[in-house]
Amino acid sequence: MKTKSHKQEQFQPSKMSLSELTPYLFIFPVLLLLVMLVVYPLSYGVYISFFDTDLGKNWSFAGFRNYLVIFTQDNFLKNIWVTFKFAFLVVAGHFVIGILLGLALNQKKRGTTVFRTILVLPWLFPDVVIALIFKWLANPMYGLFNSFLLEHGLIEKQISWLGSTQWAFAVVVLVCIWKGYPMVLVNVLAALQSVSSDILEAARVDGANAVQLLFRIILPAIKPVLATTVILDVVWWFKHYTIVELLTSGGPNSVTSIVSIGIYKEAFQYFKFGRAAAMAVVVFVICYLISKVFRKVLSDDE
Amino acid sequence: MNKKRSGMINNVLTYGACLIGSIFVLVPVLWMVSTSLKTEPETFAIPPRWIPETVTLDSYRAMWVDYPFLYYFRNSIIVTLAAVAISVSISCLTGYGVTRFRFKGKESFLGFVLLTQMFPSVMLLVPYYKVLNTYGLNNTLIGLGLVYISFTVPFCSWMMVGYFKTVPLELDEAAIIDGCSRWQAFTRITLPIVIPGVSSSAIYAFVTCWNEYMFANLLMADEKLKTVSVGIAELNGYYKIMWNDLMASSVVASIPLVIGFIFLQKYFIGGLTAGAVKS
Amino acid sequence: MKKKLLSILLSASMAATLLTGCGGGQPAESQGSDAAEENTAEDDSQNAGSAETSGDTAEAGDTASSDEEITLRIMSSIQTEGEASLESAMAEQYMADHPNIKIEYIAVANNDLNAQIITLNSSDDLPDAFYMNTAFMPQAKSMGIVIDPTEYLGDDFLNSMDPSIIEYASTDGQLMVVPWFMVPIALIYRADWMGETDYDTIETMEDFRNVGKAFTNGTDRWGFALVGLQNGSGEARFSQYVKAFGVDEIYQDDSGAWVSDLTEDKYRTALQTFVDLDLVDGIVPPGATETGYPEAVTYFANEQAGMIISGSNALGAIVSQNPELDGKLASVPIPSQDRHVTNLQVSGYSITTACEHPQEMADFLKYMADKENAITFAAETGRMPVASDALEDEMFDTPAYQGFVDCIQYALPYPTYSGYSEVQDIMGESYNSMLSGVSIDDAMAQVESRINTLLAETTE
Repeated sequence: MKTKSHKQEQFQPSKMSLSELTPYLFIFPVLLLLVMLVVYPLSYGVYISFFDTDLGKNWSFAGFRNYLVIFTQDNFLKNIWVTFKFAFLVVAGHFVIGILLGLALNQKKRGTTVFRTILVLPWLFPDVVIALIFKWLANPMYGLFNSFLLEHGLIEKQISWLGSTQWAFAVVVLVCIWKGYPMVLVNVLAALQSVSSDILEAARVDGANAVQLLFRIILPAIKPVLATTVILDVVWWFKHYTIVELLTSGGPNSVTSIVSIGIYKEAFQYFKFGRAAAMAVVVFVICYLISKVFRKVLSDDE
Repeated sequence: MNKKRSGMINNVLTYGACLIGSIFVLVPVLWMVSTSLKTEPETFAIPPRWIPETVTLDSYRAMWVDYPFLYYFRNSIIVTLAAVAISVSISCLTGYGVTRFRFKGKESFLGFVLLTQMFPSVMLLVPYYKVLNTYGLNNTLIGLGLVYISFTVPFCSWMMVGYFKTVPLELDEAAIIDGCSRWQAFTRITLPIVIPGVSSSAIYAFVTCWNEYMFANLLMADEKLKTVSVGIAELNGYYKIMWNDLMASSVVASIPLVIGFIFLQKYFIGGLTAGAVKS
Repeated sequence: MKKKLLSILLSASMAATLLTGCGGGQPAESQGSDAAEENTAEDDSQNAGSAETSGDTAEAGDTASSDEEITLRIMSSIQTEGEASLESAMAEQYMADHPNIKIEYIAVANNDLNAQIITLNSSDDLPDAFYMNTAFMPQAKSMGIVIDPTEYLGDDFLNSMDPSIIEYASTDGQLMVVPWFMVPIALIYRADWMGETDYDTIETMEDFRNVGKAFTNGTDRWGFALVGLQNGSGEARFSQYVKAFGVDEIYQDDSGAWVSDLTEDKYRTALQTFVDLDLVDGIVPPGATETGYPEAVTYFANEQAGMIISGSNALGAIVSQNPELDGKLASVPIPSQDRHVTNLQVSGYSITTACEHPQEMADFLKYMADKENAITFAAETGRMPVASDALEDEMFDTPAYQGFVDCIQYALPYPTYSGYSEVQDIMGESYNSMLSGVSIDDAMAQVESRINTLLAETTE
């Protein structure tokens, strides 16, 4: 790939200086926008983590004290751990379901258009609405889940799905999988279009079975697209807030206390912005490291 | 015969997966629809009823009459369409630029684009407001649109980089040898091949902008400039949840997305051969 | 490596320019002066005055002529609730009576209100007034974003209400809020169910438990709709429960140092009896740890729970969900173990330091709290008037309101400790974790560790 673009430069030696500028012209709009809008907020977030401040007139320099405090609290470390588990399971769920349904729906079969539209629905509703709906469906007293299970004798007494330490985490994860898998599904479907049917056919003639096809041909072919999806999906769900806050507020007994809930409390309930920012910076660094690892693992081996 | 049987198995698996998936999706969604057709007391009925005793369209009327959803829809449509169009266009440029050229700072640039997604958004509320204030763009649709572009551009850019990577470089080279300019090679040769990627990025951007709540709520103080997602969230009151109104507005709010999806999906479901490159 | 360094430097320098650019807040200022240009010269001096000290504004405010066009921007969470139309109607009426005044509401959901105010303040962009959540008062005081409206309100207004109400609306001696309504916390119960039991009143915590057991049949009827979710709403209720056991969550001792009763045995007892309502007595509907206020109200409205600790506004919410309960509700002050208690939850709007017309703003806020408006508002919403003569209205002379009126005398001052919401969260964690099976020793150990850390930080 690299040698090829060298070759390409050789095609127009006279336009050397222009062609050196060309790539920057292509990326300029995105760069400009992000520099204009995002650089300051990110720097500001890091900046306030070194202060005790109300973000108004009171600012006092704190050095690394905020970082020191959050790392000596076991709550924060525990929240980070819960978040890791949460993000891992949610993203794994997204990809298993998203890829399976994506493969199923990529076929030219009767009814797939209808199924595609139905199966993408969860993505289309706001987080708030999804969370509230599931909160009531899972309600122990007259949620549909319990009334269905009781009616069919599958359980003997009402289960508090979101209120018991045994179930709450699993239910929260399932709701978040439900909400997020269509994003993966759509991207898988789009990515599959770049898999040449000739290659698939050739492999089939060579006697490859379905599993081999999937792992040897299809997944590698859609890897560049999936890599981005997986990196950002992990990062997004690592920072997730709304659904979990509305379903359990981090309870019961902190089994669902993901780190964003802690940050939000620290900032807008306790008004310790410096400390909240320090937590946010830690999350930022973790997300950065995760993305680094994924990029390494999933990078093109060409 | 073997082929026939594997075809059958394939059919069973495909429709089985789709059916099970659909049931899980439809139970909550139909429950939303059912709730939206109920009167307020009936939303609390025990045991819950799938078919309301009194079916009423009151909530669907209320969202236009009692709540200013007409404005909300207008604003959401303007902001979302503009943000999606711009975001996807500049992401395509980026995807092409990054995959077709070697240049200084490419890796740092890609890393930087991604960085912006990694900071917990709660802590970005205050500085974003300050930035827009500096530009005088608070409480304007342009400001909100810019913010949305900055949210969606990282994912879209990276996706487009991924899609452009799947297109062999030889295609551009051949086009340039044939006398195309760089721009023509981009718009006429490469871009059409990555249309599936463009449309899936557009769907992503569409959904993200349409449902974004936190920043729309913060940046738009004027009642007439609020967006649909803010209007919906306000029905989830601190003291009281207006279940029927909330569900009715959610159902209606999802319709533009469903239409958008149906419209865009045909660009990436053309069967296996349509967009594929034979290399 | 060089590339990387370069790009970092580039971004950093960009950030630096922006940082300084924002620090100046030029656009905000230019907007402000635009607006000022339309006003009279007299008004300009008023601007200058308000920028220096809030005391100066008093004189300037009085001089505003009545034909001057004045816009009052009010950030309201009521506007996002069912009560929006009532509030807007008052504003409409007021604007009709005062043609030179224009009232603009900025509707913000209550959950986002604090964040919004802090954000606007960071850009010097505060509205003229905002709805004050009690929990936000200490923070607002330390941020210095709210003026003391006493001088604009006049003695007549302030003397029309019980001194305890003024105390609630104040932090460290500064009146923070123009009292509009209050939502005292008491115990609501089903009077008709009570008639079927052997009890006729709920005076003590023991009565409370016994009545709860009598109400409970274990299949579809329970005694008490306990809010066990770890959030502000649940914590506010639990807070009253433990106070009835003599617990003071956070207070200053004689030396002025902050201390807490949460590590004491009385808190331990309170916590244990509270969770035992569910775990031992079994008078709480299933799923206590996931029950928030909306669910609890629904249990009560659906006749599945017979008691709920709540503010008076729940009366309205319950009857609107189940109109058949109208007339079947009664209330008593929070039962006493050691004492009766309540939190008056005095609510209203705070006038910000950015307000250029505090006198006009105060006049409007007084108008909202006047007797006639307050009674109308209470009838629709269950939010009670602050003026003593309005409270004597016959609509409060009902079993449903009885407890809410009676409990006013038991009001305890709201802690002015700036970390109070963190103290509440500590309590929230303790009941929520115990309801999910954690032992009292572990829960108390966690309380002790968190409260000691918090107190140590305060003394720093």
